[in-house]
Amino acid sequence: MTEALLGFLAIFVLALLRMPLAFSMGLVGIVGIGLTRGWMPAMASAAQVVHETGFAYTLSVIPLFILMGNFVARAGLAHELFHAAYTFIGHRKGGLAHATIAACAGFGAICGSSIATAATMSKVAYPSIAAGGTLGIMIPPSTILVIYGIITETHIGKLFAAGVLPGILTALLLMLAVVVMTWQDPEHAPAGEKFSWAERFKAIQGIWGVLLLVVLVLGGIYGGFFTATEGAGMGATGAFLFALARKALNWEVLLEVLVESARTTAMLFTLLIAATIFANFVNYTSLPFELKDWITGLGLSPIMIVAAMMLIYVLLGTVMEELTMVLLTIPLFFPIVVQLGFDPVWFGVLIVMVIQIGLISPPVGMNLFVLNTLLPQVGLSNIFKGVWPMVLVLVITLGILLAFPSISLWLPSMMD
Amino acid sequence: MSLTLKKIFETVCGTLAGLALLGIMVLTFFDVSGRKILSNSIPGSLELTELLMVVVIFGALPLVSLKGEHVVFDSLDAVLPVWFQKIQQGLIHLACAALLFGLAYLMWQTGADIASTGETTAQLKIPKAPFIQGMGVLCGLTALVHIVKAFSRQADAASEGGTL
Repeated sequence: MTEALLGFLAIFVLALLRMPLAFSMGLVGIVGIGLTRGWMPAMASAAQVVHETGFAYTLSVIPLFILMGNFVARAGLAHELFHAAYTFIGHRKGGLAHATIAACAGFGAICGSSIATAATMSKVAYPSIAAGGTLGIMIPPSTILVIYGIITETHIGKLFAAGVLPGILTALLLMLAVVVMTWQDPEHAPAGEKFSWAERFKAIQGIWGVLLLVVLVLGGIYGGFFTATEGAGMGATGAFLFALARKALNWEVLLEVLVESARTTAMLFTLLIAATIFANFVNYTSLPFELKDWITGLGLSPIMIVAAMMLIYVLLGTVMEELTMVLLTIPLFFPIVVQLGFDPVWFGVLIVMVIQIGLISPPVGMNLFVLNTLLPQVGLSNIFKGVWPMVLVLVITLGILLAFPSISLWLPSMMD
Repeated sequence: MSLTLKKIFETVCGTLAGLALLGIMVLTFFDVSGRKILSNSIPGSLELTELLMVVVIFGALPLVSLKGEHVVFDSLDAVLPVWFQKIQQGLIHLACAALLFGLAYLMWQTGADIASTGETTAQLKIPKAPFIQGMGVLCGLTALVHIVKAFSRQADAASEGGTL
């Protein structure tokens, strides 16, 4: 057990020294196996992980969904989504804020990246509410759900289905928070103008194609017509044709989108490979068993154990980069959750919720930094102040999802 | 690194990885529509995707390092003096380079072993060794990028979790 704990410590030290996380995890994993099992097995297992992760057909789902999101983003869809949402609900109190959250939810359905959603939406909408950006990772196709599905070997289609209702619930609760906030402070959230139904339908015209594409791709995956990889490939092609039809692509832009997506893929796979090597090392040690024994020996009820894990995540998430936090802890937490008899799909949704919270909670909230870069005149301290109610709403949502697993599990249960 | 060399490097790696990704997309599209509509899939599409995935990942890896896009904790940057950060980043780049050179050697050797057994993909009989040795070459290139960065004066910009 000591070896594994030293391993975690070494990763933190290396990471604090600014070594990229992937390299820290990979190095510690290889050295760890080398010292405990011998250097030949360490080399062999590292080579095998690189080889297997590189040549994995099912993993091509990751670059394909990234590509789909980037094509749609490049087609300039965000602005139109926002406009469409605005024509429907903009005339209410805090209309701008409501429209932002609704549009974020819509964009999240296409993009799967919280940061991209926040960055895209904040360019077109009111800043303090872009907490809605985090919806991008709950509402499928979510990058983080794909990664969770891959490392835990959980059905990705089911994970996507599980994310739908929690994503909608989060959007509704965020909008409810806006209602409360505007009720207290009406001047800061003026109502927008009212639009006629004719104008509303006109606003939808620009985006129905993409919405249809999302429905077809996700519907196909839920319905079992496509595997996740096939759906992602069809979605990426559809998004490519969509961008082409909009004249948003020339050779230069096309290559740019492709390279950008490939870079994101390479970055994620480096992390994935390194995390797998490190997890192999941890699994050689006695830590997973002893942790399992210790936790089950505490006599807590199973739901309390999961709640405690969530608390740890929320606290860690305020200071740590969220994807890393998940990659490091899944090898330890996941076996316990499964042994307690919980559904891995449900735990995946909780993990995404926790990451959403981490992304917007100060002091290390990535979405807030993105906002700050895009809107320097607002100031980071103002953004921090404005976001607390949203953090609270997300924590409440997490509590609801924890207490009522059926919100997450009802849709996936329809797939059996 | 001189600007032209950097440009050529970026173009070559980018085109390689980008076209491979486009290839996966097109291949999946025709494979799936062929299977669902004409009940006739593209032979070997699965293993072609696997080979192309390797090109996407390892072709883009040098670019990720070049642009400093790996996930990094930079919380201490605010409190550390600039001269210290420069030395620290130089050493870290060298450590990354050493690790990548090790990996490059390892993959080259693995590839050589596979070449001697003549292992190919199951359906199309494409030799696997060049791809595995290619991984090694590109890891080596990435290591070179880190070495160049270790001795360049430009500090790394902050980057964190760009994909969540």
